[in-house]
Order: sequence, then C-alpha cells, then structure tokens
Amino acid sequence: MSPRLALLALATALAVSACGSDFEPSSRIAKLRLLAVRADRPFARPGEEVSLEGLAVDPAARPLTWAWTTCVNPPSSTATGCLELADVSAVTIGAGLDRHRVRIPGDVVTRLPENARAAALVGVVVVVCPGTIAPGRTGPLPFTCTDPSGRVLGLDETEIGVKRIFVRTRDENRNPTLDSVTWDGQPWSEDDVKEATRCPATTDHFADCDESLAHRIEVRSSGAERGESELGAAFDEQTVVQLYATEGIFERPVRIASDPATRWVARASTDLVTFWFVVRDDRGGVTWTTRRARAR
Amino acid sequence: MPAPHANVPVTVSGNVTAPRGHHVAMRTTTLRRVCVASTLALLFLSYPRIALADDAAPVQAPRIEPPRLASDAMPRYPESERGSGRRVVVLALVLDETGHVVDASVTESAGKAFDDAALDVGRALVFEPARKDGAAVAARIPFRVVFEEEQRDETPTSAEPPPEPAPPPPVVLAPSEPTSIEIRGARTAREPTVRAIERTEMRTMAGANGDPLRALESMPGVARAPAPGGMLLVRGSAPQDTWISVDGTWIPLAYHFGGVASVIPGDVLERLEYRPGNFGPEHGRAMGGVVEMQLRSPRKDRIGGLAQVDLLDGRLMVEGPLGERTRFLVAGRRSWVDAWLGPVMRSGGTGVTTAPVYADAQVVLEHDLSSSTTARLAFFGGDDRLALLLTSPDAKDPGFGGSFSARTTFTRVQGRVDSRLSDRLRLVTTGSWGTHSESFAGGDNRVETLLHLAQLKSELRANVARGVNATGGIDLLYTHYDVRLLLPGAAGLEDPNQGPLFAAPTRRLDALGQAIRPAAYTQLELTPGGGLTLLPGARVDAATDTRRVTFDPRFAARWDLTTGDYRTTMKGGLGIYHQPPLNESIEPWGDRHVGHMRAIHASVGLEQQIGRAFDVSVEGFAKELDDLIVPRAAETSTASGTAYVNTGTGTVRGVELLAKLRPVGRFSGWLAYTLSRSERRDAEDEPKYLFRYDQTHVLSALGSVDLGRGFTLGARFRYVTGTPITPLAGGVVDLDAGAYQPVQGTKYSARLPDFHRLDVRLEKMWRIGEARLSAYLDVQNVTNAKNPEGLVYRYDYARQERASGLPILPILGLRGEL
Repeated sequence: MSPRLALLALATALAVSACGSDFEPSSRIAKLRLLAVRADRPFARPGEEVSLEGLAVDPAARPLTWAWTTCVNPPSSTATGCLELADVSAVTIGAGLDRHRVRIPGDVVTRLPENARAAALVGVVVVVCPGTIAPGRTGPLPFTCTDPSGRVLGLDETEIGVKRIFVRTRDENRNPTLDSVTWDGQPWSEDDVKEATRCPATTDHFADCDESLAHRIEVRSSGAERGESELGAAFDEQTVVQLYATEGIFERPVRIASDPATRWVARASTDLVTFWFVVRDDRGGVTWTTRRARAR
Repeated sequence: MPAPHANVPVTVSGNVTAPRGHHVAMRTTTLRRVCVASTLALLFLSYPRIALADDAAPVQAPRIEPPRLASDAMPRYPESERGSGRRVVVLALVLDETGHVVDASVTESAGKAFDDAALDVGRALVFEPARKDGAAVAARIPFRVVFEEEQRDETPTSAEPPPEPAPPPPVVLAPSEPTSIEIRGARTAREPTVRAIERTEMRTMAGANGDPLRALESMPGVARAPAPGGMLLVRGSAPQDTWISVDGTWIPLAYHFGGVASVIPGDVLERLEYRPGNFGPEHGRAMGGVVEMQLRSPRKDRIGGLAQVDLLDGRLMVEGPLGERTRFLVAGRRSWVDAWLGPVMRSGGTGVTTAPVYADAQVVLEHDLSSSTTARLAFFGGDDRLALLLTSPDAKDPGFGGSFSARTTFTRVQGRVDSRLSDRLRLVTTGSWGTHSESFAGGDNRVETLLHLAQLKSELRANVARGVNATGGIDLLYTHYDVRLLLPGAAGLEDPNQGPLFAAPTRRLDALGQAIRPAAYTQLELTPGGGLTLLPGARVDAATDTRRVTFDPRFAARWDLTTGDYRTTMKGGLGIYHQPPLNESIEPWGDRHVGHMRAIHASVGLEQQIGRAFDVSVEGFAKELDDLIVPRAAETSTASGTAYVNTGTGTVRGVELLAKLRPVGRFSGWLAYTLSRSERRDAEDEPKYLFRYDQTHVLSALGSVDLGRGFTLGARFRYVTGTPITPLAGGVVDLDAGAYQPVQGTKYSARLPDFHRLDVRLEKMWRIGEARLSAYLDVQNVTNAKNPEGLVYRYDYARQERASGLPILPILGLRGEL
C-alpha cells in the first residue's frame, strides 16, 4: 500500500466515520455477536496445544451451537483468506461448545520459505449459530447454519469469525491484563449493578443527551509489550478497549489503553443493561470482563 | 506508491534479498550499448536522405504559408483618447489550425485604452490558417493594430444642417513582420487524435476552477474519477496507465490531495495536450493515454504578474524580460485549506497536527542563444502533507487510531534546448533530474520512499524530402530508489475490503537500488499528396529491472478528403503499447519474473469542420489488453505477501463524439460524449468482469458566453453512468481486531446510481490601467444533486446506505493580472 493509498484509506475511514449514518452503533449488542476468542497462547510454538475460549452474546438468549475448525498457513492472513482454506473435513460441532483446543502442526514454520516465515500461522475458524450447523461450502463460507424450521440463516443472523494463532519458535505474547473498571470514578465489580437515568432522546448520538445523564466509565489494563521479534522486527504493542452494551450510547466505543475513559448514557428504560469490555493488543492478545447496570 | 512507471528496483539490500549490484552493472552496460546502437540504427534507417542532403541533390524545405487576415473587424478609436494621433499596439495572437484566435496578449502597449481596444479587435479576428506543406497548422503571430485619427472641421456654419456624425477614425490592421511568425505545433500530429486545451479555456471553464487537469475531465474519452478523485481515466484504462508529463518530463502525481488541484497550475501553461490513444512512438511506457502539460514562455514585453486567491489556495506569479534575450517566470501556490478544515476536523473529534496543506512552485528561465536556438531552464515541484491524531480509534478498525502522517514531495529541474539546425533539421533535447519522496506513518505501519529520477530525451526532426519528414529520438529514464516499508502483508493487493488492519501481521522490506530504462524511437511522416498523411513508426524499450526488451510498431494516418471551411478528415491508427510493471509489483516487493503489460490500440474516426465556427469529430476505438499484472495473496510464499503474475487480459470498446463551437462571437463551448465498455479477466479460467472504472456513458456539455461589460458566464453539465461496485454479502469477524471483514459478492457486478452535476461560473473583469482585476464565483453542483459516490456499511456489512458526494460548493475568488 502506498502512502497515498494509505492516506486515501484513512480519509475514507474518517469520512465514513463522520458520515453520521443511521445505523445502530457497533457497540450496541442488538443481535447475535461473536465478540472475542481468547487463546491461552496468542503466539504458539510448533507442536504446542492451544486452548481457546469464545465470547458470544445473543440478546434473544437462544441456545447456540458452536463449530470449530482451522486453516494452516493461508496465502492471505485475512479472515476471508482463512475461510477459503478452512478444513471442512475436521470440524468440531457442539451445542454451547464455547471452548476448544487446537494442536499446532510441527512443521508449520519450516514448510515456508525463509522470507515468508513471519506469516506462519494457524487460523481458527469459529461459527456460532442459533440453530444447527452443517459443514459444507455455501458460497465463500465453509458452513451452513439453519434455524429449527430449516431456514438457512444468512451472515447477519449467524456469526463466523477467524482467530489467528501466530506461530513462532521463540517469541511469546501474553494476553493483556484487565486491572480495574470504574463507574463515575468508583470501583465497579462484576456483581455491582449500577443505576442510571435514561436519556429521553431517541437517536444514537451521544451529543443529543444531557451531559448530566452521562456516566464516566474507565477500563484500565496493562501488559502491553515491546521489543524485537525473533524475525528482527521491532514491535510496540498497541492496546485498545472495545466497549459493548445491550443498551445505551457510548461517547466513544473504542479507547486506547493510555486514555481508557469514555462516557455512557442509558437510552431506554430497561431492567438491566449488560456491558462487555474487551481489551486487545495488536498481536492477537485479548481479555474481557462484563458488568451490569439498571436504567430508570 | 503512486504508480511511477519508471522506478522499479533492481537491487535489494537489507533482510529481503542479497545485493546484486555487480550483476546489474554488467547488464546496464550491455543495455546501454544496445540502446545506443539501436537508436543510431533507427535514426540512420529513418533518415537515409539526411545523410545525402549535404552532398547530393538539395531537398526542399517545408513550405510555410503565414496566416492571412480573413475577417473584418469593427474597431473604434477610443473616444477618451481623441486627439492622441497615431497609436500602434502590437499584439501576440495565437491562432489554431482553423485560423481562429485562441489567445491574445499585448506585446507593445500604447496605453490602456488603446490596448483594450486592440485586444477586443484581436480576439474577434479570423485568419486563413498558417499552412505547412499545405496542411493547416497552429501559429503564434505578432499583429499590429494602428489607430489613425482623421482631421475634421469642428465648426459647421449655422446655415447648414447639422453634420452627420463623424465616422470613426480608421484603424489599420496588419500582421507585423512575417519573419517573426512562429508556427506552433508545426509538426503534424503523430497520432489520429490530439486534443488541446488552451490557457484561456483552462482558466474560464465552469467547474474546473481554473485547473488544467480538471478541465481535461470534460474531454471525450476521459471518465469521471470516482471520489475522492485525483485520477485520470482514459478510454477504459487504469489511472496508472496514463503518462503525465511536463514538456516530456514524467511527473509522479498529477493532482494535489485527491484531485483538489493539479500540481501545475494553468497560469504557467501554454496548453495541455491530451492523447487518448494511438499516440506516436515518442511516447512510451504507457498503454493508456498521454497527457502533456506545456510550460509557456515568459512574456517578453514588460514585467507582469498575477495574484489570485480563492477558497482553496492563493497563488502569485511574476514574469518578464531580463534584457533583450532572456526572460523569467516565477510562480508559487499554497493552499490555505488548513485554516478552515483543521477546525472542522477537530470539531469532529480528530486532532489535527497538520491539516492538509499543498503547495507547488514553478520557475522558468528562457534565453535566446541565437535566432534559431532557445534554451530554457525550468523548475517545478509540489508538496502535500497531512498529520492527524485520531484520539479515538475507529470502531470498524481499531487500527485507525493514534497519530497518522503522510507527505508527498516531488521536484524536477529541467533543461531544454531547442535548436533549428537548418531549414530542415530541428533538435530538441530535454534533460531533467528530480526527487520524489513519499512517507506515511500510522501506528506500527510506515512507508518511506525516496526516488532520484533522471530523464533524458533528445529528438531530431528532419525534412528529408518534399512530403517526407522523419523523427528519431532517444528516451532514457534512470531511477535510484531507497525504500523502507513496514506494512500488513496483503497490503499490496490494494483492495479496500482487506479487512481491519489492527493486529494484521506486518512485513518489513528495506530496499536500495537502481533501474535504467532506455528507449529509442522513430517515425516517418509521409504526405504523398491528396491530403493524405501516413505515420509509420516504432519504439524499442529496454528495462534493467524486468530484463526485457519490447518492440512497439505503430501506424497512424490522416486523410483530408476536403479542405477549407468544410474540411473533412478521416483518421485512424493501429499500434502496440508496452508498459513496465509498477514498482510494487516487481522485486523486491513483487515478483522478479513479472513482465511488461501490453495493449493493442486501434481507432478510426472522422472530423468534419462546418464553417469557421463549428467542428464535429467522431472516433471509434478498441483496445486489446494482455499480460496484465494480477496480484494474488501469497503471504506464505513471498517476501511482500503478494504475488504478481501476468495472467490478466482485457478489452475496451468505445466511441467518442466531440462537437465544438469555437470562440467566434460571444459564445463558445463543446459537447463531448463517450460510449464505452471496459472489461477484465484475471486469468484464462476465471470469469470476465467489468473494469472498476468502466462508465458506459460520459457526457459533458459546457459553454461560456461573453455578456459584455467584462462579464463572462460559463456552465458545465456532466452526466456519467454509475461506477461499478462489488456487492458485499455481509461480514465475518476478524477476532484479533474485534471488527468485521466484508465478504465480497461477484466482482463489480453492480453499479452506483448515475452521476449528474451542473457547475456555473460567473466572472467579472475590470481593466485598471495596465492591470486586469477579476472576481469570479465558481459554483460547483449548483443544483445540490446528491450524487452517490460510494456506499457506507453497518459495522457488520449487513446493511448499507449511499454516501453522497460534493454538495453545492461556491468558490469565490479574486485575481489580479499585471
């Protein structure tokens, strides 16, 4: 990508962000969402076994079926690149099966040419379906998800994700650590249900609500690593916090670790609002926590 | 990097590939010998009669007929200057091939009132065009306007009836000494179609805001660049397939920031020539079109200049003589978008360290070495920069957060010597040296490139016999590069749907090396009579980076079936065009085996002049493309993460129409329409798809009218078929980014809705002594049409909305000229 193209991409991203479209924000959990998959070893060595745990949320609280499979050293490390190469003959499927273990092939690095070994990875394909999963390619996807009536569910009704496990012979990466969560400056524990007054506005714009109704939420984390990889490239991990809730509006739904505070207003009267805070580093490390509040 | 055709690496250092400098040096020497030998051979073969000319039968020089005045004008002796006696104003008139005046300026003044009157006369004149060997050509001529005041008796007797109003004092119109007539574009066009936009047209065209390249977008064969713009899309080709140069020197970018303005402003250009296809062999390394901006000569008569300011930028220019034989021009421009865009972006939550800033500068120093030789030294360059601090990462890609900076700079120093060695020989040599640097930093990703480019082009034109002209030249391009990249692996695919960058594995590439691309070309111009002109030619290109030599035979013909005011001309061309790979597709970024792309151009057309004011031309064109470079994701097999293969093919078919009303009287304008279809196929066993910039219908209608009292009103309307898009079928979650990557449907199988826009420009000019002051209002999208420029998607790509482009945009400007 040339700088000009990168700039173009940036400008486009900015333009899109600033367009003020009428879509609901990505931070609102209004449909089935697969928010994260955590590997106990984001960087694994050849031959190692990696434990994975998924975080999926369905506001309709339907029973979820999970499917797991892998792709090894795909030509493209993107999510769709892995899907194209996913091994549909070795799929693990189970109701509520949100945990899985993957064995890294022993030759996953050495089978690559010297100048491409930075690309060694095992991609983990995860499918979450509020119905039944059947392996088999449907267009670009390696699975079919059908609801109890037999209707094939589209991509907007099911969730398919790809988690990369980077394979290195020496390098390691630890998942970030979640240190604290506060609500208006006060500690906020998992069993502590906070109170909020709803904003009468019906839009998705934080600015449409009275500031006095906003609550300051701060998610502190640590564990960002820096150094030089075994391939000789310097790295300095960037860590972000992604905030999700079943209701309400975040002023900024993604924060950087060094500036982790944002504000939130309740938008509608609900008995209970559930929050998920996902902390990610940019080398595949992830951790999360959940909290609750009541809107009046 | 933006599509430099010329700067492809050969050697690599760092941790990518072992250096191969020695190998290169040997190959370079060999190629140089091949180049020199082939150039000499071509020149020799092309000009057998040149060698004979000195010691054999003399050959006839081209027959030049100066333009002759063909119209009557009705000038007036300025009332305010009665009693001033005889006054003479000398104008410089630029005439086109039909004899119409396309530009007029004062070279010898007799005072403001006389100058104004003379200019009014000059612009309205029509000539029999200048002719070279019978063919009409453009010309620049000095033209004297002599104001004579008649003596008359002012005291009639009372017994007599009142006298009739005195007739206006006579004005004598005459071309100046014919020795100073400059035949412009005297060489016959070496291709079926060359379209030109003169300085005046650039400056006054509605919607173009005085910009030469934006004016070009209204020409037939040029598609509308989708937002954010900044691309020239010629006859179904990719933007990087069109070669853009300033007097033959390639420039790496045509526009500042996404098409806001050209890097060379129209004020310093004489004209802009655009060759949409079947161009002659002097142009190479491009398989789309050729755009050449021609710097103008500084004025000779006195010091002058201009100042202009509008919503986007401010510019200054000073020019004039430095003694009898030398003249200069210095111009500069800087945007001040940062003054208002910075606060707007900050209010949107974007911290702006350096808001978008663009600047450019041009210097021209011209000296007459003798009556037949002119030397010119020029400098031109541009600079674009931007720095942002995104305080909150983007929800669709957390990779878009933190600080970003980007800067693009280029400079060129150009020397040019134009020598008329004899009546039959002309040698034009242009050499240039310059730099091109690009840098981008965002998160852990960064790109830093520095290119040094040298170009030498030398062309000999000879009249070897009556009806036989020959041209031969060499064209050498040298590039030294220093590149450092740290980017996601598949970034080379330049696919906007690659998914989030956050947590995408990055690759590091450091490269240092050079590439040499020599070429030689020749062309014959045969005019056997009957209005027929045949233009066979050929070009040989070599490249050290691809280790390939390509041969491009080309042929064009024009046939004037009738001449005069109702000239009918048939024209056509057929030729092969090779284009070297872009730098990102060749080693060390890409594949060492990737080769040149090829296009076969064919065209046939008809031009019909209808009287002195109206021209119509129709041209059908076809292009067969093969060996197109196709990128494939290859992160696990290549250093760059992308493999490049010459498996692509394509076809382009179309027809263009241009109906032009010349500036006779108060109205001028044109209508341009292009119907075309451009398709691609990535490999033989893959389906054909619509080219991403294909536009079935492109219609531009524009015109301007002189309202009198210094007012000019112009308007431009454009209608364009919607740009092809690839529909998205939803998204899958990139679980390392916590964001979605779209799943693409059939490639370019849908289109955005059609585009239409009306632009209007109103300009008022005042003359104050020697100076001219203009105020203008350029209103773009005057109907505030909500033209879809793209789609915006929900975070999971399951829903979409149209994103509208530019709303109504009034640009108010002031311009002063001295």
